[in-house]
Amino acid sequence: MAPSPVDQLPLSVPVFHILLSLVDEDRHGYAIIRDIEGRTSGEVRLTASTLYGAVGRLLDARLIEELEPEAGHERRRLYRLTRAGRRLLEAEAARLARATGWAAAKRLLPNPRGARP
Amino acid sequence: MNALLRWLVRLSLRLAPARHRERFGGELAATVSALAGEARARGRGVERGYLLQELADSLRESVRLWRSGETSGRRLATSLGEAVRDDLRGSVRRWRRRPVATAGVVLTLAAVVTAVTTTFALAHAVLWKALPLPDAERLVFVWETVQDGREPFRVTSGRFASWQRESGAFASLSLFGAAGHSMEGQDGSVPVRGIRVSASFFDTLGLRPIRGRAFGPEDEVPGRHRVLVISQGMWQARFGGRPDIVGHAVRLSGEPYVIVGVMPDVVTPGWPSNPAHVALDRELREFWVPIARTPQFDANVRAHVFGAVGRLNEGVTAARADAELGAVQSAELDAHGGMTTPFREQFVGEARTPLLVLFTASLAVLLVACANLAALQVSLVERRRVELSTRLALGASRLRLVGLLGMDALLPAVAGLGLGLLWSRAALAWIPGQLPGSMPFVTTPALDLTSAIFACLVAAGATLALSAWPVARLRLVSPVPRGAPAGGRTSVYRALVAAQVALGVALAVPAALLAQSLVSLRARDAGFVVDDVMVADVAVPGERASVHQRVSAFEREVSAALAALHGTRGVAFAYDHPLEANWTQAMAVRGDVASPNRGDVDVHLRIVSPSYFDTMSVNVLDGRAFEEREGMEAPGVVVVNEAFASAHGGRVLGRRLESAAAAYTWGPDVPADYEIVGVVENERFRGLEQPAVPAVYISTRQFPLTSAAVMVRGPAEDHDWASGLRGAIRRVQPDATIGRIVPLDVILSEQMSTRRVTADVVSGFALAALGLAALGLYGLMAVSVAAGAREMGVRLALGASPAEVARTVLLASLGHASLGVAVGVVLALAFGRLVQHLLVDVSASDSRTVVIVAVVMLFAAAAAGALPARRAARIDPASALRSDT
Repeated sequence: MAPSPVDQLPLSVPVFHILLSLVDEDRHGYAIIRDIEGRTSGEVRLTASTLYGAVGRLLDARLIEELEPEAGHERRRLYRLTRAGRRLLEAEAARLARATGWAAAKRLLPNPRGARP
Repeated sequence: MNALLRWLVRLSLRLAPARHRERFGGELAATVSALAGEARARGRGVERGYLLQELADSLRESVRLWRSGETSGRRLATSLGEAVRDDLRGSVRRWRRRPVATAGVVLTLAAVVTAVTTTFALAHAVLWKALPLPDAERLVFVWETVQDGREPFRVTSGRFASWQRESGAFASLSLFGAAGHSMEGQDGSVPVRGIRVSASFFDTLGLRPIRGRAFGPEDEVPGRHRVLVISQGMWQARFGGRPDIVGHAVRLSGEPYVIVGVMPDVVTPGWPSNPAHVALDRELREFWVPIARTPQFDANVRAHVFGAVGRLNEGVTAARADAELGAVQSAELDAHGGMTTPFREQFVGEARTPLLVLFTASLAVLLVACANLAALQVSLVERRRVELSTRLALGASRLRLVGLLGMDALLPAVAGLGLGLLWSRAALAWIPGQLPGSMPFVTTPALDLTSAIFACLVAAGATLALSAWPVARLRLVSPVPRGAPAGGRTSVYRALVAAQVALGVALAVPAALLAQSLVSLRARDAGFVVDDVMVADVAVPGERASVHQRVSAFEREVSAALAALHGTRGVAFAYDHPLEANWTQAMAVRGDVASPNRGDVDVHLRIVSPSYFDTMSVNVLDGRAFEEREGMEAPGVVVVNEAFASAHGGRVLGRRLESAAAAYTWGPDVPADYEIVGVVENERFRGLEQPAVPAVYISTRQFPLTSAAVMVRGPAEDHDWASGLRGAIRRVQPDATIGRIVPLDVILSEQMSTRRVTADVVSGFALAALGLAALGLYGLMAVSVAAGAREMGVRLALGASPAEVARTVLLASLGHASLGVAVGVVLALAFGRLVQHLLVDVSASDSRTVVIVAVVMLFAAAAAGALPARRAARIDPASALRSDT
């Protein structure tokens, strides 16, 4: 029933960053916003509405899952990347890398390895 | 503003589908408040930006969630959309069928939306809108007080220096004072008015230049202080906005200055005056020059000529700052203390009441209009009863009918809102220019987001008011159409009309009181004759002390030249004209033990030429006026006014006065000791509203002025004559500085313009409200005559005379009105407390005014009932009995 990951590419900016935040750590909603803001030095700032809208859709698509609430923090629910989510994220990252490569070939970007063509 | 946005965000979060809210509601709200808190810590602007973004995202997500919801949800949305479209179409059709009624309703709504939005935006700009200065709530003005707690007055530089040294309450404290100069322009030398400030002035306010730099500590060093910062207005008006303005050299009163910066057009303090007043007029703050800080300056505790503005340290309250200012004492200072006034409060002062009165009055008109239109809707919905019943019978839900009726109200409200917003924008562009320069627009009035949201709320309220009654009536509509249900209709209708009458009366009483006050104020004796006097500021170059002979000669020669002009009836010189009298001075009455503060009394000091009393028609009551021959060498003489004389026991001729400041600041050749030789009638200084205060007059022959106001009585409003005046002065002194030549009565009417505008606009509102109420009464009587036609027919058939029937109708109209009048009088007394401060020679509960307004309203009620009464008298009994409704 879930569509193949490749059909869902490209990912929207919020979805991409939310998935990326969950790669190395399970986080709750507010922590995801802070992590994205920190990682992108403020370039990407999600509002709470955007975050929970996206989280709802990701949960429905089983790309992330919800963990049991921590003791004493019942209102803060932790989210974890599912295997499907991780595969989708890898596919998107690879797609972006290819796209960047093509741009670099047109000398739009400095060559990432520093080699001169 | 931010509080409103926070509320809107909370509201928008509720718009999401229930499933989403149950899933994330609590977490979402907690995250929003955490993010808002963070943003707030970085500033109000940041928080506003965040909240706006959150609001937009929340609305977008809601739409998205609703769209992607289950099929049942989608079906609901689609059917809802179709229903709305249907209702809209039906509503448009109904309104189009009655173009005159539609135009009436829309225009009425547009007019009240305009009135309410405009008065709100004006009040908002003055009273509530955030100032364009950072952390403005920490800004305060600082004034001196006498220890026994009299009114605050201006600050001395010595006091300021000790405050600056010893008070820990302020992050920054600055001094400012008046700076009048002449500047060379194409029109010859013209007077310009600016502010002299201590170097930290702009830092204290948090104001950054748009060109060049602000002042630094080096600019306070004597000799290096000839630098100038100009206002954006002066940059545009006098220098054509030239880009190379920084570094440009100008001459101020003959001295070379360099322009180092341009300040944006933002509210800053203008000239300070006593008691503790700061002007906001743009023309009083065209430029800023630094004060040269000499040791003498920092030690001067006699010249009370400055204002001080401070920025409180984080967390310091005004009360703590006041306590600390009082505690700063030192041996060389007298027992004066200090007090603070909040920055905005200092400017707003007396403008608060008129603005609130206008806003409240416009709200009253809004209510009247809503009641009027709601009553109109009642008759419309009665006509649709059959249609609504049919719809119910065909299976429409009652909810659907509510939507149907709501749409009927929403449509004209939206049209009225749109038109009202356009009109408000135009009104707000026009009105501020019509108000006097002293109107404290600390921010620019405009149709901003807050005002627009306010207008939308007004329109929403109007929609509710218009649809509430029809919707409430729905429960009486049943699937089976029946005859008109008894009861209900007339009582609510009557209440709506009575409410209109009540609000009309409540508005008319204060309007009449304000109009009476304006009349009594205009009739007040100013103590001088205002008509046919032209005033101009003139100045001769040079220091007074060195040129007093020349100054006196200038005065005499100009007087002679002007007197020779055709039509001149008198020429006088004075430090300032009476409507602007601005010099308060401590003087000691010798041998007077009764006066407080070591014999010093504060008086208005007037420096006037010997011809002044004649020219201005100020009567000499006792003793004599000044004489031309009493010059610098003669013993000092003064004339005092009646108020001064009565404050000192009446018999003051021959007593002696000493000036506390003479030797100190007036120069060595000005006498320090004076004999009182005459008593004149009281002039009302600074406008007719002010009470008469003690004043002392000194002759310009003994106190020569290099800069003065010349007053010429001659033919009124004659332009050739005014230019002749200018030419005559230039012939005597080619390099004289001559300001704008203005008739004194124009200045007086400018001073009264806020009061006049308030009275006129409230009167206009009151007339509109009374008119609407009369219209409402007419509508009620017309409907009840139509509904009661059968009953009246029966009475006529049973032998009642037409006159009796007509009388019944008239009495009913008067009855409805009297109920409204009774409630209105009570409301008027409540509203009267708000206008109390604006009333002159009349009490807020003046019974004569109340009775007159009540009688006028009852006459209007009789007039409104006359036409329906005539119709009732002409009912044909036979046809009335035959009709089956």
